[in-house]
Amino acid sequence: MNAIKAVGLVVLVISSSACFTTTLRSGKPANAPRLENDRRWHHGVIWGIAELSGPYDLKKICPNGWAEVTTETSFLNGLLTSLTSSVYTPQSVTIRCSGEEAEPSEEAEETEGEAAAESGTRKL
Amino acid sequence: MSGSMKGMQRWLLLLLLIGQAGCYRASFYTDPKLVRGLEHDEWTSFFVFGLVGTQVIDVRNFCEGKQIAEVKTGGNFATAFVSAITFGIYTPRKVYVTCAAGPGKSQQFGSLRKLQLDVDSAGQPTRAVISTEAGRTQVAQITPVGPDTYSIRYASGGAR
Repeated sequence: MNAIKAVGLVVLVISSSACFTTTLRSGKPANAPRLENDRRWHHGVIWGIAELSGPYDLKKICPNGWAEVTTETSFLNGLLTSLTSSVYTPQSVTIRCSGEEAEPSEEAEETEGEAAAESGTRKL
Repeated sequence: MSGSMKGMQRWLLLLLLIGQAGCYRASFYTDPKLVRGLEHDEWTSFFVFGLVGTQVIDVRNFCEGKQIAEVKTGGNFATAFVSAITFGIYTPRKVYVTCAAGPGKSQQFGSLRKLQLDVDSAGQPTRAVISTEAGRTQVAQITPVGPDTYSIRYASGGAR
């Protein structure tokens, strides 16, 4: 029973931790990451030689400047890398912007546009 | 040619590819319009297949006042080789920082050559004029920051 508990603990620790966590800071104050930029999956193939989902345009994501980018390999990332023998090598990427405003995503723009239209209709 | 030789050739080709292209890459452009200048890199240390170790790097240290064009994390042949020969005990990665081409902010105004400070009858500074080796001059702003302590500021791009 003790052995099972120990193995369970090890699995829990490994699954909740990440590998190769690297944070690059620009020196600007960092906001909390938006949901779409918090541990977003970065798809790579063949030992990560080719990036399928990058490179990322930080000016587009953070029009007021970027503060931090973090790359890491989560447990799930590592598991998929292992299962595919490194043919598929995903990573997790977190982008934190600086300043209070950041460019909303297309979905958010649509939502805001709809909200503004509704608001305008009510005013009329 | 034997099968083992072909297999070795494939591995060598793969290692060459990894060495050239870099592996586990994640790239971030700060501004696609910036002209890329020098690329700097730094080893980052991780242990036990990357489980141990967290790296935080301030990229301002790389470009000496210049803008940063691109930041990238990943590895290369050397990091993969070290990871392999240590059986994953030491698993380094790399960080790449590409600076923008052109002069840095500190170089736009040029290196300072002369500071002319005018004071009033009480010995308080009233006017500061900064001259550079390039022959440009600029009136700087004087701000008191404490008893007998003053801050002198000038705009790096606004020299006359």
